[in-house]
Amino acid sequence: MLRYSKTLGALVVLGVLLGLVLSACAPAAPPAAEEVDFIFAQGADATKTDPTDVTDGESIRVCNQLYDGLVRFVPGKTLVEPNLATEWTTSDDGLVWEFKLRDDIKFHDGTDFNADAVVYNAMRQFDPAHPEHTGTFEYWEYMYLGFLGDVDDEGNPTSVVKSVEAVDEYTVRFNLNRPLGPFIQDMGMFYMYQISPTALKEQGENYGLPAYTPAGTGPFKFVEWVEGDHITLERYDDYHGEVAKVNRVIIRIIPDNAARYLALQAGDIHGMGFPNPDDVPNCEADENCQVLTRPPNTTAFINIMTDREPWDDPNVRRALDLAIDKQAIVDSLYGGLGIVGTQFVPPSLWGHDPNIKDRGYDPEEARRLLDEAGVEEGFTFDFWYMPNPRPYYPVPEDIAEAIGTYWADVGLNPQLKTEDWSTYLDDRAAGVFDIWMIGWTGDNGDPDNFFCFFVCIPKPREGNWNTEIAQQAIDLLLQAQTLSAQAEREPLYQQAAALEHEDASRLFIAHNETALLFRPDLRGFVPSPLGEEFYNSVYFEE
Amino acid sequence: MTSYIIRRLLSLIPTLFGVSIIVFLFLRMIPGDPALALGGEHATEATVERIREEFGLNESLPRQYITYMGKILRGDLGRSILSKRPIADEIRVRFPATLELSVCALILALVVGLPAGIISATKRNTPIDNIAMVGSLLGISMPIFWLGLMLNWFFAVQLGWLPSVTRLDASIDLQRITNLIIVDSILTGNAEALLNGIKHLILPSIALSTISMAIIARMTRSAMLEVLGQDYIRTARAKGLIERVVTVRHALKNALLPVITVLGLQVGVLLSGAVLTETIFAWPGIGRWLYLSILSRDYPIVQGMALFITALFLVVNLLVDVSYALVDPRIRYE
Repeated sequence: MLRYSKTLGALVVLGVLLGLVLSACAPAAPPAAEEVDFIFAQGADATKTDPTDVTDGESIRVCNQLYDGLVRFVPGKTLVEPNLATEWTTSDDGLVWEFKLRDDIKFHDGTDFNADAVVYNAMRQFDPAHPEHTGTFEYWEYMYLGFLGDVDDEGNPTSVVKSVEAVDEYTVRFNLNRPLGPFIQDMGMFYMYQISPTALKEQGENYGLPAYTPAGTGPFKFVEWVEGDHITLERYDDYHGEVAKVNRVIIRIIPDNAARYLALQAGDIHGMGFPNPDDVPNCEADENCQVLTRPPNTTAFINIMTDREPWDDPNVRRALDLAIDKQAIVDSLYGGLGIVGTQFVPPSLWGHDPNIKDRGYDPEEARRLLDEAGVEEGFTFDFWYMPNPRPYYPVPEDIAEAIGTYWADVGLNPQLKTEDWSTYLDDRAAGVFDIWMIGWTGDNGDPDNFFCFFVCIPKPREGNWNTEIAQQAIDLLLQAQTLSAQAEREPLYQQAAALEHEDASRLFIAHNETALLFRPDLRGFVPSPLGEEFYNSVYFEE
Repeated sequence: MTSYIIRRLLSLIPTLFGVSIIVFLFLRMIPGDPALALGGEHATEATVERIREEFGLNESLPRQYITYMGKILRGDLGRSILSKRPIADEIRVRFPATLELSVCALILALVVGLPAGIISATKRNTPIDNIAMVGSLLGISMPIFWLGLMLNWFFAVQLGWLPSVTRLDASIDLQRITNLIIVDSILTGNAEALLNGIKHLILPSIALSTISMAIIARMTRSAMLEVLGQDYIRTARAKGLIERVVTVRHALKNALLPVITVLGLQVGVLLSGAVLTETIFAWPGIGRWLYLSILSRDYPIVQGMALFITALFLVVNLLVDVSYALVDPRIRYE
């Protein structure tokens, strides 16, 4: 009897404990977020809210909401339109750019936006002696090729920018050392966003750190940053453009792709980026989920050392190209979110030449070209792929294996190799590889940005294109850099692309689209090929 | 006892010194340049060189180590190469999150694992014993990432009972004092944050606790079985003591020594498990942060965290050793 009563007692205690736990588990309402907040989840925390000193997409996403530039990218496009500047002119020689500024703008800290603020922001990055030049300002250096005082071996300034001056209270002038075709596109980029000089002076080198309040002119103001967890922004009611429809934007940090998708399904977030490829069709099939895609702004390709045997023979390079069934790779390994690549510039950008077609999948012709070139059956070579996913190669190992199999089918014997990503970047620049996978994600919607990192100024990053045709293409690209008018520049890029296609110095594989997943009632989100998305247009359908 | 504790604390110094050298050298033996990792594909040579200079990466290894140790001795763990923020600040923000999760997981492991082990031992070879031991086998063998995702899917997505990620709903305002959500909620009298924080803790704590829970249950069972076969237990029973008193007061107390040892080791298990749990539940602690820092060759973070975790582990082990004397009066430290 005693034993039974003890067991009963234990069961009662257990039941009470279980009941307590379950009652704590059962919330009064489902955990859906409030409709007035827009909660977007990203895979990593921002590093800073200072747009001039960041390079990662996570920080840039936050900065897009906090700041404005003199111009901005048209939502969903790669062309620029007026923003803080109402109009601009350029001199005939392309060396002087003058911007007329809006006279009704205040920073989030209440201070005035004017030409002095623009000069302060530019000189902060450009002049190493500036008191607030406290970052590395990598994008300024990368886009304008140096800082004030930097000179090349012949003593000439390396920087494209010569000086920045205020003409009057609402007119600012950028003087250049040499013309730069993409200059106006660059002005739309995050690193040229305008920051309150007062906030910069007050916060010094701490500006942009989690505990400090950034001040821009964008549609949202900073509220708080709980590191590794979330960043909260609230609507700026005095915004000069379209005032935000949601009260707050909350950027949540959810590192795991699958966990992010589960959080979307659970209603804890409203939108997310970088889903697992398998989750995209799942979302499409789910009535409680919607998929939006960014137009392609990436190019995945295979680079080849054209001065090494047997790759110095253009027919061997063409054979490699003909041996790959790119459409099959796009269909199966890009989750259908991509198109076959034919050239550097993706079709969503101006400068793309629609007349350049893929050589097609023709293993018989590939085998014939290899035989003709005297490449022996079973020719062994190293084929390098990157160890981690990139926007242009979402599953690099799988793609490398597929390409390797295609090449094996035409009698070659590629050995797949990889190494640490930063070592990979180093080795491809140092000429360690003969054939390797690489790619590009566009920065500013300008074709120069796709070509010139690999091919032209100040010197090719990957010195593999050494043919006569290459020199012709480089001349065209350098000429395009000196022009300002898009109509004059576009044919030059198209000619360069045609030359490269003929030379088969690079094998273009795909242009990847990026999927974003959202709740089904979310509206007003305009996917941008550049990832420059502004959340002031976002709302929830009633 | 006091002199023993002081001696053990002093022995931390050469241990930490040794760890600092090993971690410093091993990190630099791994291929990969942190300056390139920071600069990325777009970085110019000048940028990469500038980053190397800024973080002293272009200096000789002995020089780098001396500079690093000089800072450590001044109490400066350095700055992250990627975020450029002071590492001590990052630890101050992130460690409480891991601590809160690990303590909850450890409590859960103890509350479930200890009774399960005792019951298994006292009901040896009964269905209850079999169920408890199969359960503990499952606990040890189930991958945390799989269990975490399943818990998330079932309780957050399907039932909607619990939040799927993070420590607190972003809509809840909580004044951060210690950065421990539960403690801060109590200190500020914020009942909404307290309840919300507890709800956020449940799933990750369960996921993280399973391995420790299973190990504790198995170790308790095995230690109890050994003790229950001793002569003094038979004597106690012969004296007519009731079974509960024999089990708890006589057997369990003597079976606790190996369990305490295992408990100390669980700190390591929980910290390594935190990498996966924090990833799945978007828990902003040190686990995932350290993992990402290793991948991105953020040397100062990896070095700083290695020292921090080593010190933590050694202090916990010291506490375990000290607790032996408290549990077993026969143990004396001189």
